[in-house]
Amino acid sequence: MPDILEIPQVAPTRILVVDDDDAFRESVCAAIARDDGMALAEQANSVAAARQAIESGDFDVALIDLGLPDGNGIELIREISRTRPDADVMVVTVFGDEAHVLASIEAGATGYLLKRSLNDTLGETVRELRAGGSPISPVIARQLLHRFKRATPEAPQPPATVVDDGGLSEREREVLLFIAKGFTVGEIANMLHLSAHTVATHVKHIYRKLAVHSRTEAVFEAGRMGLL
Amino acid sequence: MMLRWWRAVLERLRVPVSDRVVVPTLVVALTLLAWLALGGASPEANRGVTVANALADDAPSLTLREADTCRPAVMSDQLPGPECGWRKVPLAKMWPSRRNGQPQYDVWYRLRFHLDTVPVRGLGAYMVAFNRTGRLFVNGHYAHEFGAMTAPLPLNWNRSQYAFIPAALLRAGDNELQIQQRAYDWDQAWLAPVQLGPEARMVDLWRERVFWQNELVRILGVSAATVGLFMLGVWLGRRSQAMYFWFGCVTLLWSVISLDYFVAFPLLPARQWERCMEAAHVLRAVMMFMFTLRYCGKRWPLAELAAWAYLVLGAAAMFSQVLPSYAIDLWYLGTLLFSFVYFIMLVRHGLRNGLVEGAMLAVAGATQLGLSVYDLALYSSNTWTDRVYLTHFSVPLFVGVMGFILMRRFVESLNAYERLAAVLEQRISEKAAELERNYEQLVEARRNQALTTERGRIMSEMHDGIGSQLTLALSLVRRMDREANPGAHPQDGQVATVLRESIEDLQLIIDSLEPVENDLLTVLGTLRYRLQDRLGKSGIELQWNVVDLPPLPMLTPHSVLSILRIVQEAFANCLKHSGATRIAVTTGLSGEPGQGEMAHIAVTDNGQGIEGNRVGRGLENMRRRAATLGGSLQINSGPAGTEVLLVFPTLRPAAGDVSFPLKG
Repeated sequence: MPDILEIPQVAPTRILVVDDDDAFRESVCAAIARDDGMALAEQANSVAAARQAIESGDFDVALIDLGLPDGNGIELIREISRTRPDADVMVVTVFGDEAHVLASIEAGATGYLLKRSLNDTLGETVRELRAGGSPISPVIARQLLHRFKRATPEAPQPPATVVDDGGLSEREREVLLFIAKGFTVGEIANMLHLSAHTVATHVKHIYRKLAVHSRTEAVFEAGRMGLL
Repeated sequence: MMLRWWRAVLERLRVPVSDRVVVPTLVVALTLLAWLALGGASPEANRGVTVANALADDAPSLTLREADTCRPAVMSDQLPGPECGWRKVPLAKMWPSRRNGQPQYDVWYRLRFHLDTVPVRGLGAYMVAFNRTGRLFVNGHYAHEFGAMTAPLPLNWNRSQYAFIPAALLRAGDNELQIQQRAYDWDQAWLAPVQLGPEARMVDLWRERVFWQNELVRILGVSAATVGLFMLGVWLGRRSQAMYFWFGCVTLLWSVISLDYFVAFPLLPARQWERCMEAAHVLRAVMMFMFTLRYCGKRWPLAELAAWAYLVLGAAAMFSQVLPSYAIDLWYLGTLLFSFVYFIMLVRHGLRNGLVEGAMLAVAGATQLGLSVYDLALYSSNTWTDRVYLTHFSVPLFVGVMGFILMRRFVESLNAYERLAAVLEQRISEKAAELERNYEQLVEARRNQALTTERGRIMSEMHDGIGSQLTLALSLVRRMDREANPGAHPQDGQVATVLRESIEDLQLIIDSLEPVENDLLTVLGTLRYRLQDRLGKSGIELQWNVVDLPPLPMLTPHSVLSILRIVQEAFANCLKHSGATRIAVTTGLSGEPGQGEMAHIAVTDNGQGIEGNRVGRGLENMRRRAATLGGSLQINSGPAGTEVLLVFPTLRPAAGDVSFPLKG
């Protein structure tokens, strides 16, 4: 009996690589080529080139470097999440720091990779991502909790960065809290009697919620400023 | 007991606390005044007895209650003969005015008395009432002059007289006093019964009477003037409050009227003075009426006009002598009507302002009204007695009450103003504090904003600059390594290792700057997250035996970096040297919250333990970093494994507490 879940893995995951560093791009392309589960869809070294690739090319996952010579990778992430909601965007960062990662997630990214260990972890991370799981660090989990925290009278938060608690389910909140306390996805799955896959899926859902919220907020802001 | 009863009464009447002192004082003052007034009203009753006793002892005592009297057609200093028409009258005797073309007239009295023996020290003669001026003769010899016998004649209105009769003028047996009295033609002249007795006794009686009827009135008049001037001063400061003006005028007028009682020679000619005083009484009533209207907050233009017309027309009639004297008397009596009207109005309005104010006004007003009626009756009775006029004694009461009420209003408005000012001040200080807070928050927010911006800039520099370049270098070195040894196990060479460790160190610094919200577990979790891959590849199981800790104030980026480095070093030791298969991370708290609370982190492995000085250098660094946390590091190593225990205080150490031991 064929397993439906294995169907996506039959066809290799097509990867769009956007980075202005030629050596790095080459090394990523080599890593993709080594892996049977992945195929290079397109590569670009600027925002302009990437835009063309996004319009014309077909890809499942986009690897995007934020610091491009003719613009910010964040714009590309927004564009992809708007025009290709089925595709995953992974941000390539040097340190996986909260500032870069959270901004990318808000723009619509669902994963991130450390540049230095990308060769080793790319295949695994892409497979997890396609299966519905997103990576998350304790600091980012804590910041997400912070963003979704309900504004209380005692600790009023600037409304621009706070989402109503309705955005997070109790389970999602629980998962974020455990991650912020340093527990791994596997440990959390054990404690909550869930599968590791389900826990990872929760994280991806939370990322999506944050992106949706950010978009709504942007629309709201734009409307308030008379742009819409 | 009495006090409690009094307090209960006050409670029942809802008397404000501020009045509780005033009311008893007022009661005492009223009693005193009543006593004074009564004492002044019937001095003879007490005195008669005293004199009688005194005379019974050692001296002849006589009250001469009848006299032969006549009014000669022509003034002369000689005792008139029988042609004058002598007739016997009881004393007191009052002569009506006499208009026969002469400006003044004389009357003569002859009072006979009997002495068994001549008193060695002479006699005192005390005349309770004797107006204007005159002379006293004894047995045909001149004895005393009461004042100037030529114009202007002294006023001597309502003033008792005393004269000393030397023994030389007296004789045993029948004696005769001859009294010459001089008055203006429009004047009335009167003489009350004459008392003869020992000099000291008579002088005392006379002085006492002068005190009550003249001196005290003078004192009250001066006091009233002071109050009146004060009220006018208040009015000058507050022109809108006309009642202060009218009250000041009324009070000043009282002191002018009181001049009659002690001034012998007024500034005006006698007749004009007399008329002015009568007009002053009416003016006082009109002004009092005006004051009452303003006090009650009323304006009755027609009534006010009528009152002033009453005054002006009446005065004009009086001065131009177009009206008969009884009409003038009626005009004067009309002031009683005013008094009655304003009395009713005052009491009604006072009651509206509280029982105390109403009661005080009622007592003062009733006293004044009663005494005025009494005095008017006395004045117009034409049956002269030796009674005293009393209205003046109601003046201090009335001025006191009104002064108290006005002052209370004044003080209350001052208090209200102060309360208002206090409220305003409080509001201002609240606002100021709020502004201060807002400003501090703003400063704090700006500072945080600046810090965040700066942090972001440095992170961005690290990320896009040195971080990217190190990563690129690592990637190039690895590729060169791979190309140099194709097919070899992908192990980092020396340069690659240095580069990788540099990046990892940078990573640690960046992680220490991340917002962890004072959660130690997030700090440790971050390290775990970074090391996850390497631990997995080494086949080491990590046990995360952490307990949740409250937010630790000491977790600043600096201390976070120290903790990260210590724990990372502990992990590195396990990975490199121990051959362990399991590492446990444990956290906990000990001690009392607040002072002396300590947090601890333990990294325990099941490896072979640390031998000798192999990790000496690393250990030294760890200890130094533990010291910067204000804590300590303990390493227990044995064949069954190693425990690295870091203990540090949870509170942020004060600036002076942190010691930085020199590197040894």
